[in-house]
Amino acid sequence: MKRFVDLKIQTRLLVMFVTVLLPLLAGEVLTILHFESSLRETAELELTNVVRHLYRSCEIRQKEFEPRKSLPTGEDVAFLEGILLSFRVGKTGYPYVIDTEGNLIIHPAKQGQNIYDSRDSKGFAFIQEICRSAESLAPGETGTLRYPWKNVEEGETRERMKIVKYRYFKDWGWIIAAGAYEEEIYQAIAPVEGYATALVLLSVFLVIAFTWMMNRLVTRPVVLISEASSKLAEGDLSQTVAGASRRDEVGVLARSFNTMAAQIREETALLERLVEERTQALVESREKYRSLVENTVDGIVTSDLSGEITFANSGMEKMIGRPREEIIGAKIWSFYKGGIEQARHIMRRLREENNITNYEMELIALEGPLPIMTSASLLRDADGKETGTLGIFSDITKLKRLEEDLRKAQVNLAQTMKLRALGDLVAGVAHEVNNPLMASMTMLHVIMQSVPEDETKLHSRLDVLKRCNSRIMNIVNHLRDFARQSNIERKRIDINEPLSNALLICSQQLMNMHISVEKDLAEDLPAINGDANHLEQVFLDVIANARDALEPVEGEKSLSLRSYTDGLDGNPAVVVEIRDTGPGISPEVIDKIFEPFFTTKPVGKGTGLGLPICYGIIEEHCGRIDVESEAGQGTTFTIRIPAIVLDIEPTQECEERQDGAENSDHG
Amino acid sequence: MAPKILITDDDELMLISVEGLLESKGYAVDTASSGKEALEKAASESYDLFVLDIVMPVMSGFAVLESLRKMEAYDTTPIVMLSAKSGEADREKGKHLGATRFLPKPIEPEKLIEALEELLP
Repeated sequence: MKRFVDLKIQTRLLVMFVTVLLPLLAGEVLTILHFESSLRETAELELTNVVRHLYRSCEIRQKEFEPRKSLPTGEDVAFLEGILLSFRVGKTGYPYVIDTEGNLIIHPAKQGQNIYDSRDSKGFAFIQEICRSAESLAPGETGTLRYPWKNVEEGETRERMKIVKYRYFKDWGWIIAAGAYEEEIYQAIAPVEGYATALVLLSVFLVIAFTWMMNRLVTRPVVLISEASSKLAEGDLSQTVAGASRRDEVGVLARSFNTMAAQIREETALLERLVEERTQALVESREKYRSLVENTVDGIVTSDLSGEITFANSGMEKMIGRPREEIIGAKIWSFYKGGIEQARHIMRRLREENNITNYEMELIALEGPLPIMTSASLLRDADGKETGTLGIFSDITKLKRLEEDLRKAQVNLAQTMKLRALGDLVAGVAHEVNNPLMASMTMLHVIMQSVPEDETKLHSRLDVLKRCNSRIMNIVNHLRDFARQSNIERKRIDINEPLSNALLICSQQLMNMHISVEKDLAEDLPAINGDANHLEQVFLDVIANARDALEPVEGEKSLSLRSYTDGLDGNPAVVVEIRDTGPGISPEVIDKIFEPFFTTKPVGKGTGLGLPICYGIIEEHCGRIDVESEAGQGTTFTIRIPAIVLDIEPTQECEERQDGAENSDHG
Repeated sequence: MAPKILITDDDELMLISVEGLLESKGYAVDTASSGKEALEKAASESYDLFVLDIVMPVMSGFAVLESLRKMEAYDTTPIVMLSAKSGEADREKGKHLGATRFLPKPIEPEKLIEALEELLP
């Protein structure tokens, strides 16, 4: 149950009006009703008086004129008829006498008729009712009956209420009644009724009007202001209230409210603008940083002090090859190749130096270890307390590859330069040795010819000298080949030719050694610009090396030759692969395999110049010779030589280098 | 009368040895240690064959060859070029200038004699 003070003002006012005005109104209505009923009684009194008068007449007649007679005589009836017929009630009302069986004893029009079964216009046997109830009336008591009636005999069309008052004169068994139409007997009070109704209506109207006025003048503006305040409080700032022009307190209130609302609107608009500006700036700033963080290829992660990753950007996702959900929450060292030790190391360094830059390490990515460059720093809160770490990882795979390529190129270049310098040196040495060697050979020849045939011992000793010279000449010739003193004649050739020739030369020897040969030469190889003789020498040399490698092998020995088209430095090239199933070459040896004078063969069996010469020849062809070997897995030599494409000669660069090489061979 | 041969080489040992070889085979041998000397001797004497080293200071074997071929007396005389350089370019150049034969250096004495015997009647 609500307390009165909790009710709305409007409701309270209404309650107050109701509690004050309603009793007043009720009193008024009661008074009027009471007054009206008194008037009615007064009006009805005429009927009652007629009945009473007739009753009294009957009493007098019985007692004074014929006191012993129990039944009325004709005289009595005539006497009473005389009195009765002189009465008129209202306009059409009249008295009559009836016995308890419905026989009209005295009646202005229907005397002698029995109306016991008469019924009113609703079908109710009202005479029977009167007869029945009259007998139970006490002497001197008056009964009343109302019934609707339409006097058809008189041509009435309207049904009207009739009222009958009656008394029972027991001694004679007479019912003395007087009936009249209500409207006729109430005629006198009708105007009074009208006034009363008007008064009540006026009162009701006044109450309503007063309430409405109060509402309109006081409550309504207050309620409006109150509603506007509520809406204002709810955020609808467009509220203004009417009545600001009024001079009363409501006007003051309305003006104050409107001023206040306007101020709030203004302040709010300002605030909203500020908030919007700040929000926009914040959004832009956030978007900028988000885009920076998300668009960078670098991996960015933050982790808390326990090493748990709290943020990872898309760069990190791509780097690791896992979705963010799998990264965030994981321990950071689960992605470090160095594990927790690495994380500890980084943390130690961070505490010492506050940040780390360009720290190289490896991440565990889905596809394998990923070399990265790390920059890391400590994250602190506003109080300077450590909260975690920020790490930025740059993928340096390409850099590493470039470094590796560069290193290889450097090694290659160093090798080439070394070989070239050595070539120049060797060429010089060979040239310098040429003359004394030839002089020695020539002189020895002259001497041997001048020594008589029978000096066999001297001859055999001079022969040793001759053999020495031969060996020296052999070496010098090799040196000269190595120094590219040899004549290279380049023609448009099919590389399969020198390869097949070289194999043919060796085939008998290979067969004797039970080496099986597999040959898989592409038939549609593009032509190359090369010297068939020199290439044949290269293939012979490589095959001879393979043969030597296979010599100690027990069991299956096989040599395979393959040729096919591939690429070299982005240009089409023909490739020859010569593979043996020998014991392989150790990495230390492989590194030196193209170095001049390096040999693993016994003294006198190899000069250590075979493969360096091959290297030189292939270089002359702008090609490349590579060797791959694994201990126990055999060795593969791969020779690549640029193919002639659309009759364009091999690259200018290589040509220039060749020219340079030839020019430096003078002297 | 034995054929007369002029050997030109800047290396003394070469001159002595080849001279010895050719003399032992019965040729009349003369030597020159420079291109200049060779041309002077060619002008004052008459030779049936020349052995020329290509790589020599001041005047190369090619220069000597060119000059000899310009001399009326030697326009068809056999001229053997002797060189450690046996590149195609050198060979072409020598042929163009009128060299009769190219021989590598070093060459076995037997092969040298064989070549000379072929060129001399």
